[in-house]
Amino acid sequence: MTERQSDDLKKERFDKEALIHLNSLYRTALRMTKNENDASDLVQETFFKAWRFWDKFEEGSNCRAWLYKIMTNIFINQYRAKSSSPQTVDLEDVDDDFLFGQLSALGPSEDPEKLFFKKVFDDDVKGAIDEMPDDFRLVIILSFLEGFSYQEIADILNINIGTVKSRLHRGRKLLQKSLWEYAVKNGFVKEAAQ
Amino acid sequence: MKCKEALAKLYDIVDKEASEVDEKRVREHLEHCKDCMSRFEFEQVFKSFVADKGAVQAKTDRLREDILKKCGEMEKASPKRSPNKMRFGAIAIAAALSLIICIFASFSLADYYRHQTFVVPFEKHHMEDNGFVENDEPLVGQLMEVRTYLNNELHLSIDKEPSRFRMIGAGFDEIRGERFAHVRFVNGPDRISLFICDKDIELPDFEKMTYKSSIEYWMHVCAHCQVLHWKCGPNTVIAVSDNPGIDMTALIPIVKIS
Repeated sequence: MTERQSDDLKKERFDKEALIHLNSLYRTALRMTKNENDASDLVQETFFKAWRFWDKFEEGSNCRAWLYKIMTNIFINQYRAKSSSPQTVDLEDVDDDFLFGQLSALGPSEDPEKLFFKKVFDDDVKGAIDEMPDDFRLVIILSFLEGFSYQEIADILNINIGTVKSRLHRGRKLLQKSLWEYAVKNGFVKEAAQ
Repeated sequence: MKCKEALAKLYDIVDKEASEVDEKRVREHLEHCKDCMSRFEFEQVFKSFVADKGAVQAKTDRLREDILKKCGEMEKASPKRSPNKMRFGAIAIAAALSLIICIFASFSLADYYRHQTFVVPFEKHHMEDNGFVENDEPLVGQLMEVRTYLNNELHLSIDKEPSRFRMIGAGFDEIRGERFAHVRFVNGPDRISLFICDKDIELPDFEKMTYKSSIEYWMHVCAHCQVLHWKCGPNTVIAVSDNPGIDMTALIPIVKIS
């Protein structure tokens, strides 16, 4: 086999096994960096790195998770520093069933949950995700939007499963709280009597 | 099962992470408990609501073409290092060639030997994680310990981070029988290791270069790695990266005799 042919073969395999996940990685990069230029840079760097280390990738193992691991590493090391997201939040006073409780308190006359889910728009949800601190945003994106398991998220972010679960738990609370605030601000629901 | 117990497993079930036994027990409880059931349903709807509304559509055809093109260019720019993928014929030719080279120019074997004995051990320690924490808080304790060691015993200081480099951790490694302080930096997506030893170690004479016409350093670059080494007083400093393309000379002036 000539060098040219082996290059083509590598390219073909890379295209079929790695680049097939481009769309999903780009989507996540957009949610991570919050702008198209950075997202496309981040994704390109991810694939260049993957290309360089392609011979270290074990055929048959989870390529998508491997690419996500590379990408989150680059993101954390390079983009996090300039990220405007707050790094800590105070959730002490937020109950687990915060949103559910608020909606239930609106009364039985109409179905408040249905109304809420109908009235809160895409942009509100995207905005609420964007406003989360990176640690929580990453696990919410990986779990809710990309469907990774706890174990996969733990591997991708290099944290243990307990941390994944607690960040996901706090991420949920945070998201519910800010979506409720959106709904109140936009007048979709009237704040329930506290 | 009580409500409290069921609610504790709530997210595991919604995320499809609960064991079969747990799932069955919780489901049994939900059948009989309207409150828990509506809470459970709410969390389930909430998750798919966020997944649905938070999803973004993106066109990536151009990006895919760009990436493939640039990867091809990268391949041309860097020499090959995976003979295992070559055919036997190619290996035989390579073997014959290297035999000829061995006979006529023994320095290439020396290069190979130098790479194996000098570069590879450092590369290995550079690639291993060795407990460095990148994603969460850096190991401040270990960083302090290494700084103190460098200051008090080697009389060296690492005074600041050069631009684009960020210090992310430190530790101690034993490499080729010597103890090295290992300080790790990131520069964009790349990790760079600085190994510092208080001994005058015999080092291979890679390509000799000069930094700002005063500090001599030796450099080795190949397809998958880059190594610089230089002396700082009686100490030996070795910088290693798995990216042959970045400029590591910015690390040279930050190691100073205090």
